[in-house]
Amino acid sequence: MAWEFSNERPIYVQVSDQIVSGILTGTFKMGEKLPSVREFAIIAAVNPNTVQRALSELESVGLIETQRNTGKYVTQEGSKIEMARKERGELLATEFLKSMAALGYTSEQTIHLLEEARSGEGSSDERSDT
Amino acid sequence: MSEAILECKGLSKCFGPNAALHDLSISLPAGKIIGLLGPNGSGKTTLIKLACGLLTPTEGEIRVCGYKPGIESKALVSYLPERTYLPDWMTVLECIEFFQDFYSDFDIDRATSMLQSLQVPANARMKTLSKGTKEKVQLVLVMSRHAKLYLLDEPIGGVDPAARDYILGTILKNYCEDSTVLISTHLIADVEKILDEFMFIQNGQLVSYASTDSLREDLGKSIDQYFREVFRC
Amino acid sequence: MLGKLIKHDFTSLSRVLFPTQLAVLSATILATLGFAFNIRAGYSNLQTSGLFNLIRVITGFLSGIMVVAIIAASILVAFIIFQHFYKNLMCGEGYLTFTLPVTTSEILWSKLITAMIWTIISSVVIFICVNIFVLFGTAESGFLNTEAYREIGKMIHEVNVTIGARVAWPILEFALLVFIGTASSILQVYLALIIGGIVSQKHKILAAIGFYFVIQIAVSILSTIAQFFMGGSMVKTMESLTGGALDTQNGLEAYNILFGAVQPYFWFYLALTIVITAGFFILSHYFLKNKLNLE
Repeated sequence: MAWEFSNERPIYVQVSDQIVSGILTGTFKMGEKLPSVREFAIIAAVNPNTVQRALSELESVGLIETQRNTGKYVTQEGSKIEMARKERGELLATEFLKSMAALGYTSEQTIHLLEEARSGEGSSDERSDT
Repeated sequence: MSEAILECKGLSKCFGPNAALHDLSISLPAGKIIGLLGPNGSGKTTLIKLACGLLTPTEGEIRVCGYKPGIESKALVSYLPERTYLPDWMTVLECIEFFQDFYSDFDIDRATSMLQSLQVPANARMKTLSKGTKEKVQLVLVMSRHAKLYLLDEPIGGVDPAARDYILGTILKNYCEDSTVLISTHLIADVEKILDEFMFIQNGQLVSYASTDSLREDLGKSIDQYFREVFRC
Repeated sequence: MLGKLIKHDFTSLSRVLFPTQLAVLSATILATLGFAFNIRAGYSNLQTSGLFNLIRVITGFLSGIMVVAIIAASILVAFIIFQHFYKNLMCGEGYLTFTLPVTTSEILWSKLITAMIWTIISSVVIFICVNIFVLFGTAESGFLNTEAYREIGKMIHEVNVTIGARVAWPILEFALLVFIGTASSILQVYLALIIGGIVSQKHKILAAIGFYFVIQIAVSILSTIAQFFMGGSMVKTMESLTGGALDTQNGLEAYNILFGAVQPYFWFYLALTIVITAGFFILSHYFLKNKLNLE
């Protein structure tokens, strides 16, 4: 099924984000061989040149490496993946705080809500029994 | 220096007093999927017909891989018109053989396997097929050629979403660095993800020619949004 | 590429026309049997019972079928040839034809050649049918009507004796005229279809019919003007001959005088037809290449 894309950001950026997500969630495992540019293009339903650009970007940050004659692979270096995970996490956190601030919450209130949500994971199980 | 796949210099086409195209100059490179976008009557089909050799320019020139429209250029161009154009009485197999006979770049294996996966019976006469199936057969024949320039006039207009995905997928599967696909459509949102570049045409004139990425990076807009701005009624 | 175009055009035409020729042959065979039966029945001393008369009427009717079949088939051959031209070049299929890697000339030549071939086939079939009918159907006694052919044989023999092999010339000249004339007629319709299709998108056929007559008139005017420059007319020349040099018992001499007198007119008329035919072709090519806009 084709991937979903938003309208404002360049597609190649969104493609590389999706691939990074795939690496972080384990869809693409460490050291695993990635689909070819053409295959990616068909899976994602995007232009091959776009995929090429996305993969080049990921290569330049070291998340992907090309092995001549065999194709592109996810990096074996766990540290690179962890760095990407940290970056992504930080980005999501910052954006979340911004969104909550736009709704009128202070940072403290936001953190409090998060803690409630975390403990609510336990209590919501109790409530669902009734 | 690699040659432009399609090049227009001061190209104009008039029908009587009406200028369908006016002073169009553009150079399209190889290896790209390019959108030919514009409102109805803007001159998109005229440009495509000129590239196919179905119309002759009133002024200026148009060249495909360096050739003026003629038998060399026609061997390099694979054209999918908006309407059905295969003879009614021919069977699907006869159409395949026809293409194979006239086009040396026709890939019969690709065509047969694509038609099999579409479950189109080889012995069915074209006139017995539904409109949607006829269009798919035509698409298969056009995309089974290893042409340098593919001209697709409204390939996804009037088809259901599943067929649309199939058609776009076929275009992607067929992608080759030596050739260029020019897609003329007004269903921009559906097609945008597969476009490298796009041209806006209005009243027979070139309004814009840019890459999808640069539009999003520089203006933060999709082609669809940009189109609505430029061609606001 | 021209060969491929011819092959495909011919297949496309034969698909419809071949069955029609079979139909004509079948009608001929039926008519021949019917007519033969009728003749013998007429000569025999059989009873004239009601059923018998009915059979005679039916078989007589069958003979008429042959004539109708031949006429219908001829019309159908012409119709299909022009319909194929129209559909293949002026309608949706035009998108296919004109984007093939072939020249406009080749397209036109293929249409002309296949039309000529089928015209010849159709004529040959009719010739065969007439012969079948005469040979097998009109015999008053016995099985075959050899008498008719013997008469023809006698005529040929006489001609051979008086004029000899020279008779080949007028036959060749006549054949050439018929051949070029057929091409001219075909191209005239083609040109009319082209111009009609270009000028009127909505009423292509009506416009084509109109232009056919326009072309006809234009050609007549041209011919008349050309004839005027040729000086005199053939008929007058022939008239001046009778009672003069033509008054001779010698068949060969008479033939030579006549043939000689006709020659300049023949060559003139042939040249004129060739020029007109070429004109049709060139105009058709020009309009197809430069002025056609398929919708």
